[in-house]
Amino acid sequence: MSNFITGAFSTLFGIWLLFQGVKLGASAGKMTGPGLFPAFIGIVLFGLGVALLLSKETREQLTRFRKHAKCKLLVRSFPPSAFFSGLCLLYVLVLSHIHFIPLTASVYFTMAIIIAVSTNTLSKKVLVISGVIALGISVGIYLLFNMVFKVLV
Amino acid sequence: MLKVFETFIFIIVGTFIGITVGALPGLTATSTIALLIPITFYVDTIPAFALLLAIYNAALMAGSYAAIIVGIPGTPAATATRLDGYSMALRGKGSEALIIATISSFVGTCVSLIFLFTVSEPLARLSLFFNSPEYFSLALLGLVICSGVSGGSMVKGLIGAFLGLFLAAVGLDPVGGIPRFTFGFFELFEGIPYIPAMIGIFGLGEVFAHLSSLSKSNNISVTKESLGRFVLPRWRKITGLLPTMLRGGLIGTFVGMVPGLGGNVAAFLHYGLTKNTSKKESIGFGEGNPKGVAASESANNGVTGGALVPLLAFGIPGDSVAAVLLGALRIAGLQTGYKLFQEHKITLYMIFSSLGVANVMMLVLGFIFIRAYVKLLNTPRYLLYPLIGILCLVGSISVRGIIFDAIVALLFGLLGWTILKLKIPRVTLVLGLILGPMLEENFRRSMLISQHSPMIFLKHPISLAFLIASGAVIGFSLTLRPRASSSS
Repeated sequence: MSNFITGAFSTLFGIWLLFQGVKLGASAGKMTGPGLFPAFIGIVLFGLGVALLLSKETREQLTRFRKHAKCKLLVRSFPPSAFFSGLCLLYVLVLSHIHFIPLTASVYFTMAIIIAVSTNTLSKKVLVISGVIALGISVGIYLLFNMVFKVLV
Repeated sequence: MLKVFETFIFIIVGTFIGITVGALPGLTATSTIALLIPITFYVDTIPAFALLLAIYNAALMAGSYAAIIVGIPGTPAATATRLDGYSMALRGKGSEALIIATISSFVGTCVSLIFLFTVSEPLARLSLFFNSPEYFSLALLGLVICSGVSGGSMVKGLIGAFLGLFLAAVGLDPVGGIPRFTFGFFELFEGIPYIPAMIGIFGLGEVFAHLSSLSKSNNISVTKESLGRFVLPRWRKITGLLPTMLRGGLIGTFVGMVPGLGGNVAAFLHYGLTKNTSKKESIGFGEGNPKGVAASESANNGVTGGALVPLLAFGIPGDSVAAVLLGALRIAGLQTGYKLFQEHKITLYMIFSSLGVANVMMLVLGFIFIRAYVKLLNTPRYLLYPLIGILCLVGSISVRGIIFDAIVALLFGLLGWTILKLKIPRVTLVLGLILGPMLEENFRRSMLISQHSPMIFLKHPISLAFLIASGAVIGFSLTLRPRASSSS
């Protein structure tokens, strides 16, 4: 399915970029305009996307996908990807409002627990070690940013 | 004197970091170098680049540790080493394979260094004949070659490259100063911050990929049996492998010069060549033949110097590490091309020499700490990956000190992970991002000179040659690859 998703994205993104390029202006008098290059990229992306969608390989991928009813598999494999993307985007949103350091420590702890659960190694020891490191990292970053980089976060 | 000492210390630190990074599966030289680029703000150019090159060289070598001992390549370039190295470890000759890999890597880098010293300056002199149309066509050729050879589909490679070009267009228009695709964020007026983007694509992208694909099998344990007794191989055995190592260094250097190929291709190319040209031996290739280890390791380290040649001569990076190094060069205020050799000759040759010293340190430290580094493979994943994730965030924010850069790194981490899943080569996206400004500026300048006539690119002979070469690469990739894959 990767070909189909890439092709569809490239085609749609190419169209959007072409419109944006035209909106920005392809020429400004004797000079080339700020929109010329984006419009050119848009056209190429559109062409490449269509070529990928129409390719034999993509058609074969789609046929195999339908044949083996991989929709179910896709739905099943979607939650981990969606979970990580969601977590990441949430972090992006919260990052601007909460102090960087406590958030970083909490992210370390969360990631460590996720890995420990995934690899079946979760134990009291892991929890304690991860907690201590998360705390150590908070202090470390605080010192690093205030004493070495001299940047307040 | 103090500077030389400082550089030497940085080389030792870099070698230690490089071996650590290379030895641990999942960590790459590219992500580590991207993470350490901010150091170029705080340290002099020579020690900073000595550190980065020492990491690059040592990581390529140490990628063989995990490939040999546990059968999981530490870096993609060590995949070919696994074929014979792991078989040797299964027969209790892991230590011997590790020593051969270390020596082969050393020889490979030595060969590529000779090329770096002798070829890069004359090649850079060619850039004196280049004007805007030539630079545009050359950048285009770099992108096309990279898309064609970086693995997977050519069309996907080109999509990655043009997405990179789009990302490079974000910010103020270089001619009129009009904001493009900034979505109201004034932080984007200068363009997408380069370091957070690199850290995101290579560092966080890698971490996310590992987080989402973890399973019980990710726990690695190193056994004493696989390492075997630590005995240096006989001198005759090493000298017998020397021709293979030298040829590997040569092939690695040439492969390194082609944008997008990298150590993995060099290693497999030379491994295949050695296998096909060798006489029948008692231990076959893939069953633990030391020649197989020497072939792949010398070739993948030969890439180090090779990748730097087009980077310094024309500003076209040979692989993803060189692409990241180009960013570091820009931060240090060094413009690639012949001007670089004229104005910063001593600095440049000091940097080359530091790679030579780093190579010797890699050999020495590799021998001394080989067993300790192999034990590193037992590091629990729950400690390692979150730490890298946090270091990526800290690295991205350390340049400008604004939270916005951490957000950029995270978003590029998601982008890096997504394109990895969609099988779009990351190196093409990064090359597009890097070459974007060069492409656009020279395209617009050429159009201005020719009063909007694209014929200017065809009227200049060198530019025309580059465009024909680009067309040929596209043609070959589209027609030959499907046949090759169907026949294989």
